[in-house]
Amino acid sequence: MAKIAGLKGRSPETYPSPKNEGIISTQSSVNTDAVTLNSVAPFPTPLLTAPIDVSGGAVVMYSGAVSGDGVDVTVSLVVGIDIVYTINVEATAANSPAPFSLVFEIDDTDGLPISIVASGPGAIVAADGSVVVIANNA
Amino acid sequence: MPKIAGIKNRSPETYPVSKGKPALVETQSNVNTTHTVTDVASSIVEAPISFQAPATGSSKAIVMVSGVLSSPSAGGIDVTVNVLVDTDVPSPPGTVVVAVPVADAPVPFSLVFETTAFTSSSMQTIDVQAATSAGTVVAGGVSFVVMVSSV
Repeated sequence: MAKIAGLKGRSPETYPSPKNEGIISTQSSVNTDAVTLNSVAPFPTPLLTAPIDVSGGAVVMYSGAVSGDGVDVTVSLVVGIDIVYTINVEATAANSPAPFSLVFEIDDTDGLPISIVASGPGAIVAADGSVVVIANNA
Repeated sequence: MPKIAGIKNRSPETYPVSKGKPALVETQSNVNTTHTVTDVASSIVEAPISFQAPATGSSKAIVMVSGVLSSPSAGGIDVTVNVLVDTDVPSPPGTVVVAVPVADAPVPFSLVFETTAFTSSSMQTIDVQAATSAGTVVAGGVSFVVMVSSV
């Protein structure tokens, strides 16, 4: 909390600390290969070619497509080994790509790698994965 | 801590040291209400976005596109959406394939993509084009944002 001077009778909590306004940097990755997901649901498959390392806060944007025959696909954003955000995408028919995207802000990665993983039952293919990470290095 | 003059009975900590110069960020955008997509690639955005890369240092652009695709009469159409940097060179990684399985059922799509680094002061044009596997679909509400940042 920033120090506040000259306030009488008002709680400093009235004035929340602003978010960092530091220097940003960007990183990105594209996976040009189609990824066949593990058929056993509890074992998610990485969609990126490699995890992305950043420090500080980060805004993560990912876009891609999944294809499967009437299955729900779970896509998760993972920091280190922790799942911090998850969405479900319905792939209605085989060979019928369903596009999806996600955006999520991480307060602090603590220097841990960022990855995108997906899982679901049956034969599922993910493709056209593109991720952009805007890191706030303040 | 910068020198503060003329302040009495107030803590210098009240006036924090300013942060470093932030990265240069410039954004441009446009929206295209509707565009018919055929099996011949064509631009689906209102207009390509052109800019000059910063004169000093290196820079990249983050491209963000969102919209819907709908077939007026028949389903079973795949639509390939491509980001093109410098118009003549499609960037294969900036691609998403969208299936439009049935008629009159808009399919939302979006695409985020970061370009490679630009040469200083070079002119760049970024476009988004689409083509169908066969037949015709309509691209609607296509929003296009380009954010150029120094590396």
